[in-house]
Amino acid sequence: MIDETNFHIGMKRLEKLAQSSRRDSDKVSNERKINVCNICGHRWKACLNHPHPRVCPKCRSSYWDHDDIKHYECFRCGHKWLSARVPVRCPSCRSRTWGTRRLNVRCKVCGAHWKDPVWVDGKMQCPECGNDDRDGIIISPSKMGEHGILSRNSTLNEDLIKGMRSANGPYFKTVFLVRNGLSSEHAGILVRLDGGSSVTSIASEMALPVADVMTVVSAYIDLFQTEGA
Amino acid sequence: MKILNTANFGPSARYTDAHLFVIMDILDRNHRCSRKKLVEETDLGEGSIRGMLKVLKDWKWIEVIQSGVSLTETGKSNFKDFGIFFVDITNDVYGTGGYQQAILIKGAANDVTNGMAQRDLAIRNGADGASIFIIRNGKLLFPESWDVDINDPEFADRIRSTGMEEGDALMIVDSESEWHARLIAAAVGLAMR
Repeated sequence: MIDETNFHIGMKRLEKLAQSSRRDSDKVSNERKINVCNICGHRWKACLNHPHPRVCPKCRSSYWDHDDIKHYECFRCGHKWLSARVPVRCPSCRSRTWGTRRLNVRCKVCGAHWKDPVWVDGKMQCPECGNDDRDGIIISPSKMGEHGILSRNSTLNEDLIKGMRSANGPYFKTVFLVRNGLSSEHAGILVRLDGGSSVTSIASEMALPVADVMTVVSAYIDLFQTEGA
Repeated sequence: MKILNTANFGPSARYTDAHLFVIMDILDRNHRCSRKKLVEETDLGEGSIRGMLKVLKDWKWIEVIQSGVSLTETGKSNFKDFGIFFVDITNDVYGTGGYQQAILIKGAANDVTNGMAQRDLAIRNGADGASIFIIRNGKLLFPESWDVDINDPEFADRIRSTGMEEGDALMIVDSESEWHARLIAAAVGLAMR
């Protein structure tokens, strides 16, 4: 118990108590203020006088507290950079297809199709005829997504068609095709086509241009016809 | 409905989905047609016609031989599946005069409320005016509620003779030239599908 006989002693004790409680509360608040840099990932305890510094103490970036900053990497040249919005071109190699992992490639000599990461300094050779002339090769970005069938040398074959037809109902047919490497969009087109829908009705149902549907259909129409579709 | 994928790289094409549709319609009406005749019937150049024919040929919708171009069976069935048909009917009461082209859009009546959206679509495509008619619950209507069967029975009979059925929409487009009227009608028809 505090001895209140001497007023001054009592007041000093009260001051000490107040100071200690203030220190405790400051300690709690300091523990909560942990700043994290969105650029380099550095974490530090905020200063009492400057709880929100202008720059990160480690990387000196003034964008350390911006939430919309993201890391990007170019698949063409390997350049890495930060940006607040999705960039149109890679700032290093100026490629528009910086975000496409693999591009469609076609050999002008033999007409073979394949997919390639196409690095700027990398060499490319046609797997069919061995043509390594860069001018003899046509590179185009993928139109229908990364994981879908993009060219005539796709994974779809007669066995896959038979497997699709053995599945019950359009849902399981689609699942079967997607599990075998086709994009859901392509699988939807092929299942509808196999079900007897016309190209225009598929395009209308799936809200796709007729040209996109025909890209898929024309590549496999011969295969379907041989199967007796 | 879109026909062509406009996201392709390279210079933009001078033709649109409507041009392609009109070309298919010309090929459908004529058994066989030369490229020169197609150029004469449209306002497009030889290169554009060749580009469109190449697209259709790649899809195996047309057959190109020495005597001309014709639609294949696949092309004919796909063209019919669009559900859009040019019909020969004109009217000076509902239209603004000039050249008129009517287009029948199958099953599009449910998308029409007061017809202003469809009229605006035609105007945006360059039409001078446009009138739309629908058959809903057996009644031939000039939206929103003008009953053509009662108020203009002669014109109603003419419309019905085009093959218009329950749930269909028919639009008459007015424009400065016959070609433009057809092109705008095709563009509106494709947009309404």
